[in-house]
Amino acid sequence: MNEASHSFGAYVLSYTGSANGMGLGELPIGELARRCREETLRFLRGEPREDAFCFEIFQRAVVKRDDDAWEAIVTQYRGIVLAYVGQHTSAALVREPDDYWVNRAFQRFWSAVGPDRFGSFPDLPALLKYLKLCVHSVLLDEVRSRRAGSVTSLDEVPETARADSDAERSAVGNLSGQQLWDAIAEELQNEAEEKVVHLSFARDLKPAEIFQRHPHLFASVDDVYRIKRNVLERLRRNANIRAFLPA
Amino acid sequence: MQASGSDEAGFAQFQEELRSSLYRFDCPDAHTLGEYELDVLDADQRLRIATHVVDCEECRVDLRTLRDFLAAPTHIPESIVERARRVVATLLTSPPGLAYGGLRGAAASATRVFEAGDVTVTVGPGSGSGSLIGLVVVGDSSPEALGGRSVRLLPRHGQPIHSTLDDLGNFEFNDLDPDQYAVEIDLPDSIIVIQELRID
Repeated sequence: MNEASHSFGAYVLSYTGSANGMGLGELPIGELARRCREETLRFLRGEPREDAFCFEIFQRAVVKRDDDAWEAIVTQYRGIVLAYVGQHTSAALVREPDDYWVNRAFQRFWSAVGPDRFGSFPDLPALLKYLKLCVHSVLLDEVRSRRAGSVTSLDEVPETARADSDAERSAVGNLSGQQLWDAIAEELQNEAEEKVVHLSFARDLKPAEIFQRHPHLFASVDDVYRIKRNVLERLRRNANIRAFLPA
Repeated sequence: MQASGSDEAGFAQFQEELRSSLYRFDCPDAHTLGEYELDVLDADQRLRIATHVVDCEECRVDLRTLRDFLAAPTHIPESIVERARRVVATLLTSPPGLAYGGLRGAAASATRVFEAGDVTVTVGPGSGSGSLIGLVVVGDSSPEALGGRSVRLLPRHGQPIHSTLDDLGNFEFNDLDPDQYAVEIDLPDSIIVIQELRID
């Protein structure tokens, strides 16, 4: 496939004029979208571009919560977000329809960047970098979620659960995880036990990997196995800990 | 003493439940870690995450993945960038007597009319040898909107030759070598392509 490499940040011109005698803030959204599309195509051809039109659309969408502006952003940048998804190393691990990731990335951007934060983004490249971060974080959250074994495919997630915001789900998960860990920590007798349980379950490491990271704490890999077995037997009998786990 | 099969299964299930409940419970989520990388967190959050990252190999790996991803140039497939917007114009057989009033100085017999959607491109020889003139009309749009748009003449051999549309939608090329050319006209939503144009 013939591909063109692009990195937003080069060839930026600054908009000082007006279109049809109107200032940027007065341009109707349709005209802004047209100019933004045109400038993006110009950029994709490696020509100097003018960012002000696209930036103005972001400003209207984020600061004024203008639905039409938001729709213009999704239309304009959908292809680029799709390219981001295809480029991410985790995309192959969490195969879902491309549209799903595109929608989630835009949804996360929308949730994370409100009017109060827009000032943190001085220009279009900064906004697009943040949009790229959103692609990364929705993919990586999913990788973590699947590694934890909670779901194997998004198709299995009930619609009601999907409606919860990512941040909300993450916060609830962290809260219950912390409470469980606090209960476990009360039962652990030394640093070796703590490392074994933490690295086994909070980091999903094998005994050999745990030994490799902390050779000073264990005599051998078998020692890690032995400690893990003993601690788990103890934790399993603990009603307080079992209360945190699914029935 | 050998553990029973059901006991082993229960033991394995207990481990799975622990892993499911504890996996990365103490790590910042990927988005917060990303905001740390982009330096858009407040000072307290930034310090908290920096402290965590020092001790967390997995978060350091996540950060490396993010840095590589952000630094990599974005590969926009040609299908997205080019194919969607390159529209090949087709040659029309024009009815005789159709006025090419906007086409400066072209002899009607040698003019060609191409169409792509609502875009009409009329081309013909200019007044001197080796010259080409053309007129672009886009639907009901005003010609002023076309002013300054790029027109490229692509010879089979050699470098592209550049011109621009004037505010009536006209373009002109002079001193052309005899050759077969393609024409590309940049419009806001597409590039109109005339694939073959012979200049004698």
